[in-house]
This record gives sequence, structure tokens and C-alpha cells, in this order.
Amino acid sequence: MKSLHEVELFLGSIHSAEPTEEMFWSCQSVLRDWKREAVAQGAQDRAKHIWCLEQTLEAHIEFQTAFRELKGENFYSSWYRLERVEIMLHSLSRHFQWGWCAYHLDFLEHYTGQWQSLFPYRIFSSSEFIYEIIRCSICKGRITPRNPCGHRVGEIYDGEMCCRIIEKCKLIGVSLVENPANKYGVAFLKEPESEEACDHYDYSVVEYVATALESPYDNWSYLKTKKPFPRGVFDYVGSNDHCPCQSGRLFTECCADSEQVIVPHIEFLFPRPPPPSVPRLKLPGRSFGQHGPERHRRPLPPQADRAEPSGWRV
Amino acid sequence: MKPSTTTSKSFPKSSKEVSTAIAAAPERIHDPDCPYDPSYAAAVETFWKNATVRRPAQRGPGRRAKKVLLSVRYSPEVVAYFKSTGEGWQTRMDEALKEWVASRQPKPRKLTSVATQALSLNLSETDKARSYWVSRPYVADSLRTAIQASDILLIPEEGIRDIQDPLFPSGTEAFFRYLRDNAPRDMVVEICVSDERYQELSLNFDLVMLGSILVTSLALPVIKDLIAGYLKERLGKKRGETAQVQVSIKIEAGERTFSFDYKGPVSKLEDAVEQTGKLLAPQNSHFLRSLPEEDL
Repeated sequence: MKSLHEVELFLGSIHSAEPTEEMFWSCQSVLRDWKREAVAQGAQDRAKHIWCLEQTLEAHIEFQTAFRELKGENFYSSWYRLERVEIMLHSLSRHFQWGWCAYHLDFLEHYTGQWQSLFPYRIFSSSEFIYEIIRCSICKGRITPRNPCGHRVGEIYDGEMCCRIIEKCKLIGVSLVENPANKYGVAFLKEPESEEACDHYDYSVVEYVATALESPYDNWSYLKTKKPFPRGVFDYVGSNDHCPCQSGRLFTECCADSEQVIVPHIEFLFPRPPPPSVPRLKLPGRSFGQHGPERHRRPLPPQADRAEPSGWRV
Repeated sequence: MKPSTTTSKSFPKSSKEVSTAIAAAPERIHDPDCPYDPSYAAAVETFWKNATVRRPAQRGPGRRAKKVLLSVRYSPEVVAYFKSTGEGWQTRMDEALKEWVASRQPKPRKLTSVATQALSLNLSETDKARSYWVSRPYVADSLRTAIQASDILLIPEEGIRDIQDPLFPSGTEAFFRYLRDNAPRDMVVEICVSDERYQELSLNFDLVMLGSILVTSLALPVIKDLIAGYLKERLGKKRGETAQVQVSIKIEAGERTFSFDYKGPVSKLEDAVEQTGKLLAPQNSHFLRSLPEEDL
């Protein structure tokens, strides 16, 4: 790849091209060279346009990496990358209206949110800082209210986005919140003996979608519903485990004696049949509570009859 | 006069006795001792309407507050009028006077509605007025005149987590610049701190914190538009309308300062500020006496 136009064509067909890593690197270096030239000529608009292309490319790389990490069961790392995509899209949104659909940023925006909504994280740590010395990332000048440097946060100068650099700060506290500004601050439990952090979350839903999809650019959607199952399906659940209906009570005190158990159910719609190894139906494969943070896998109940629906519902 | 609850004759015991008594009763009765005309069912009903039925040995109502006995002189036409209304004229006179007294009291219903409104808007009085902020030690002497004269003044939080330094929520410098660039030309925008003492507090919630703003009552309608405009610029059009904000607007109304604390979607802030403005309008000033004082 040599010209800007080639990079634009590449970005326009990124969802179907199955791009290799080499193609990404060559794109990046082309953009870097062109931007340097634009800045040298003082062509601010062109430099800004190239910055937008760079961000778009990087967002796609991150999104693809996030997908690969989901497949490789590196869930937290994937979560962290999805947040990076979200942030990049946010910085881009005010500058790149016309490129939004042309470069599939609408796809990234929608599916980043959709993946995030399937993650089991609910509690986050949020750090509280006092910023003592604040500088501008463009001119490196110290920022005080009455002496603004003139650069605005979020604007593009010489092909770079203006942000704040915190040169000196004090950490005054960490709090646990449900609505963090930084989603990467996921709270993990500690192993009681070794004191090491461990991943106690149940990722079965995200994992399920990841195994059913081939490409990060596949379309998929889901519907959260409730579904009744015969009691026999849950024979594997111990009577002192939490009830599969997610009421929070023990199974024996809740649905153990009923004929049917109504459980929260997510129905997925995939554009093409998932690989045969993907089960048609998955039930909570882990026991909650008592057994500590390690994950328990139990054999899946017998699969429902395979019928070929129009869409591929699982 | 209160109807008595006892009768002189024994009450008929069976339905037969009742019907005999009814048959034996004359068509009309003239009884000069009776306060009502027993021949008219309507008159009987009116009289007995207020009676309370009490079983034998059942306790009566407790005593009401005593009336005061005094001797007064009224104009003859007043006395003549009340006497002409018949039995119970003194009670009616007392009622008429009570009505007059009630009409002279400030209306309690309106008072409570203002107080409830103030409560639902999180509006309370604060004793940290402009004079307090102007005299803070972290304000250089050279700034005091400008701060005293400002229409919109960004004020810091003090004493968060026992930190005595003044703190502004992160991004205040950008908000301050936006206000200076976009406020009407005749309005002075200031920030209550010297530049070298300016520090930001970053709490990292997904909540836009705008801190505290002291405004004159004239600047109140302006500030809500400025906040909406700033959020749109900072967060983009879509998020700028749905984001959750937290802001405390201190409003100077006459000699007093009120604190309006808001936390919620930007879209509803405008409405709340408007209602606050109405509540603090001069014609309401005598109701504001009932506003709760801020806990300090």
C-alpha cells in the first residue's frame, strides 16, 4: 500500500477482507508518513483527516484483537480492548461523521456495546485523584483557569488529539462503584490462601457467542427472555446450590419440587449455522456460592432436537 | 345549645309497641320548651344531626378548651342582627369572629406547597454567601474585587476527605473557559481560587460533575443554557443530552443565598432551574422563611 486512497479503500472493505497483520502495519506506516508530510506543509485539515483514518484503523485492530482474545478465553483482556474501542470511537465521533458508516464504525459501535453487555462484570473499582499539575498534551504548557493555552481537549492539532497530561497527582482513595468512568477497573476476588487475584466470573455467555462466530464482523443479536425447562434437566444441580431460576434462594427451598423451572434465557440469532461443536442449548454450567471461586463444569443436559429454523436460533 | 341524649319517657321495646306509639301520636305537637318544632321531620333531623349516641356509662368527649368569660360592648346593630338569627346567636358570633381571625393569618396551605416544592427541588438556604467566598485564604487579594463583582462564580469544595485545600471537579478549567467565552458580555465570570492554588479532584464516576456555581438571580436563567451548551460541546450531541450531571447552583436572592442541588439527566436540569427561579422570585420572598437551612 502506498497512497492514502489505497488505505481508504482498504478500510472501506475491512469487514470482508480478512486482513492480515502485515496489511495493518503497512497501513499504519503509510498513514504515519502522509501525516508527517501534511504537518510539515501546515495542512491542518489533511492532518486531521489522516488522524481520523489512523484512529479508525486502530479501532478495527483493537476490535479484531478483542474477538481473538474472546476465542482464546482471555476475557478480561478482551474487555479492556473493547473499552479502548469505545473510547476511540468517542474521540472520533465529533470529527468523522461522514466516515462513520463508510468505514464500518457504526458496526463497531453497535457490536462493542453488545459484547460488553454480555460480560458478567458489575462492580468496578474507581480511583480518586487530586490533580496538582496539569499540562496540555499539545504545547506542554501548564493549565490553570485564567491562563488557558488555547488548545481544546478533544480537538486535533497537527494531526494529534489534545488531551491533558497529569504531571503530579495524589491518590486519595479507591471506591467500589457500579458506574465507573473507567471500565477496566473490574473487581476480582482474591484467592484466600495464596492472596493472588483470581478470575471468579462466569463467562459462559460471552464464550458461547465467541465459539459460535467465525469472524468478528459476523452479525448476531440476542434476546433476553425466560424459558421453562422440565425439572429433570436440573438433576445435576445440588439441592443446596443456588436455584437455577436465579432467585437467589437455595434450589431445595425454591424450584426443586416443581415440575418446571423457569430460568432466565438468552436466545441468540446467528447469520449462519455455528460449528457442530457448539451446543444447541446451554444451561448454567457452574454452581454458585459455596464452592469458592474456581469454576465447576458439569456435563450438559441432553440436547434438544435439531430442527433447521430460518434464522439460526440457539 | 347541644341536644340532650336522654328522653324522659321509656323507649318502646318491641315493634308492636313502636307501631302503637306511632298510631297514638297526634298529627301536630306544640311544645314551647322544645328547641325545634317536633311536627316537622326536617327540623327534627337538623337538630339531632349533630347528636352523639352514647351508651349508658360510656365516657363522653373530653372537655374542650374553655371559652373566656368577659364583658364587652358591641354596637347595637351588631347585637340586634345576631339576636335576630335566633337560638345560638352567641356561638354564631364567635364563629364569625373566628372566620375573621383566620382570614388575617398567612395562608398555611400555600406555605407548605412552597416548602414541598423546595424540598423536591433540593433547594435549601446556605449561610456561605458571597462574603464568605471572597474572603477565603486561597484567593489572592488582587482577585477579590473581581470575585465580589462577578455574576457567575465557580466555587470549590472544601474539606472533602478532610483535605483542606480547595478542590474543583476535573475539567473545571475547560468549563470556566467555556463560560467566559459564551456568557453574555455584560456578565462577569470568575473562579474562586488563585491560579497557583488550582487543583482538580477526579472521582472517575460516569457522572459529569460541574461542582458549585454561585450566581446572581439575574444570571440564573443564563447558567442553565450555558451548562447545556457546554455538555453538548464536551460530550458530543448524543451523549450531551443523556448524560447524568451533578451540579450545585448557589443563588443570591435579595440578602440571602439558596443552594439548589441537582443530580440527574441534563434534559431535566433546565426545567428544575426554571422552577427554582420561579420559587425564588421576589413575590414569593415571604414564603421562603419556611425553607430548611442547609445542614452544616
